[in-house]
Amino acid sequence: MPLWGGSKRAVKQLFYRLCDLVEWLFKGAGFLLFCIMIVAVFYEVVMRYVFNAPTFWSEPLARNAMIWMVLLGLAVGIRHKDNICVDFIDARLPERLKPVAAWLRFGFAFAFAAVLLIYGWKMASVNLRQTITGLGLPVFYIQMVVPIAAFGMLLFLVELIVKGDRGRF
Amino acid sequence: MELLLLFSVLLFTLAIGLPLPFSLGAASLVALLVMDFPIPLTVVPQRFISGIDSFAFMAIPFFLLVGELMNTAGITQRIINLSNALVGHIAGGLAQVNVVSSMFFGGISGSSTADTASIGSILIPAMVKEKYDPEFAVALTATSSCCGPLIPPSIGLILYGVIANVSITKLFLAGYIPGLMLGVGLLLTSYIISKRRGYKTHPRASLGEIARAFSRSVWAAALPFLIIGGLLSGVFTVTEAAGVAVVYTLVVGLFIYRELAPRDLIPIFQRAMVKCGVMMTIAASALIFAWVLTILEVPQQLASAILAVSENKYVILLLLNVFFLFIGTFMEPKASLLILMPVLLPVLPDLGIDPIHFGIIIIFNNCIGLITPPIGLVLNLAAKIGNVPIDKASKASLPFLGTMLVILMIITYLPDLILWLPNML
Repeated sequence: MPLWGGSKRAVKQLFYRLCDLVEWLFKGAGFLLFCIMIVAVFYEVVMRYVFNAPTFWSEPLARNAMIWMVLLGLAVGIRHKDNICVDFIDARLPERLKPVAAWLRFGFAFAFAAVLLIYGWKMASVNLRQTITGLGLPVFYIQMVVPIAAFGMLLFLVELIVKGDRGRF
Repeated sequence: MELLLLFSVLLFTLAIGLPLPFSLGAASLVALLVMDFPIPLTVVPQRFISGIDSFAFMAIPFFLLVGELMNTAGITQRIINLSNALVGHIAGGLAQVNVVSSMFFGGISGSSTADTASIGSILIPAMVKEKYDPEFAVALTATSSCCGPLIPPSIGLILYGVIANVSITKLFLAGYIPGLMLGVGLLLTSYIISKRRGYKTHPRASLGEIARAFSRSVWAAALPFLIIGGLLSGVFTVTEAAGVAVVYTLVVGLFIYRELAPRDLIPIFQRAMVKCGVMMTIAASALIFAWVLTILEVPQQLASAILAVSENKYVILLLLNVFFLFIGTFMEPKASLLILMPVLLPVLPDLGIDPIHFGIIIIFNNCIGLITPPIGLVLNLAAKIGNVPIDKASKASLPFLGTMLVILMIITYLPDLILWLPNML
């Protein structure tokens, strides 16, 4: 008996657990990032109008937290199949063409997510030294969200395929 | 060649139902790959991030969050109670309550689907119970929700403002008058229909009752005025107003009405996060798309093509309206906004059309698209809540649709009506 034999289901279960974990991490991070955005913007309003002492860090902090949150949100959106798409034509396709459309969808989504993963990593890794004005944080840490979120997108797309889910995502 | 590929990939991927951010991104990617001069592909993730990286954009997550929080925080029910005390005694009591609640709601949340879901699930059953025709209740709920995207805050106007690079504060101020016009128009239309059909009227609330309803809902009802006051006086930017609105809603829900529990917050925040993710990345890839269009000099070509048809800006506006109404019937409104704007916006100066005026026209067209089948996102949602077949609901919405078209013509041809409030600033 080879190592995989008979345990295909167990491997699948493990894979789904991994996807659950990634979703949990993304959503947990999203909650924290949302809180950071709210606190930073509100703090700035209070400092500026009540104490007349504007900060220089709150705006870039909130903006960069939003970039992270939005991209992680897109990845989770794929798993929840929450994306906005034009379903008018696809829904009216003849039955035998629907699987074709489904595979084409997967193909295009894979291609774009792969570009985000590979070139996102390339973009981030050349920016290790450059820092964000106002925060003193390397740009790398902000741009890293692109490959991370793209990894999540690819993972969730694979999950849909493995699950045999051919619907719009 | 690049242009042909760009548009055929876009249309093809849209047709097979690929999510919009991927569709716009893939089309731009293909066009970049076949260009004569090499462009490094790192430009794609770079532009993707910089598309989101805008302080003005942050108003979207905040207002989406406020919309998500309102129901749980107990704000929705209180606004409906207050509206009932104010207008419940007019012919078609609950119909008037429905419209006035939507107008209040529009002043707090920025999305029409949130309005329909929360007001509809309370008022449609209540109207049916008082012997209103269910399809009338559904059609009215759907159309009155269209006040939401017009009366600020408005997600659609923020998206437009960021893409068109115009002041969102000005856009917001421009949205109040058409939003109120729509509300009043719907009040009149439903008054006439209710009078004719003899729908139930509530007894007039005494001054004491109005005062009581008001004191119970004062925290909820104050929010729209906080937002408009902050914007008009120039105290807040739109994003700051949105942040303050979030904190205000949290404080009211957690500590004053005490209907919001801290453990509710995590799932609500995460729902809003996913909504932001799917919506704002469309804007980000629309900006990549727009950049590719400029490289290919599409706007210039389109401008000369439009000017070849007519040089009269009113004729062009009429044609654009017809075009948008047509597109709006089968395309999700935010999708059509984000796909068409990069093409059309650069053309506006040549045509002498004010971008703020144009933004309001587009958003109004989008609203009409929300209630016209086959897509009719909001009408579908309301029909589902009221358990009414969609064809009956769309038939019942015809008189309201007529009202909306009349208002659309007014705002198209009387730009000063819209522009005087933002120009005061």
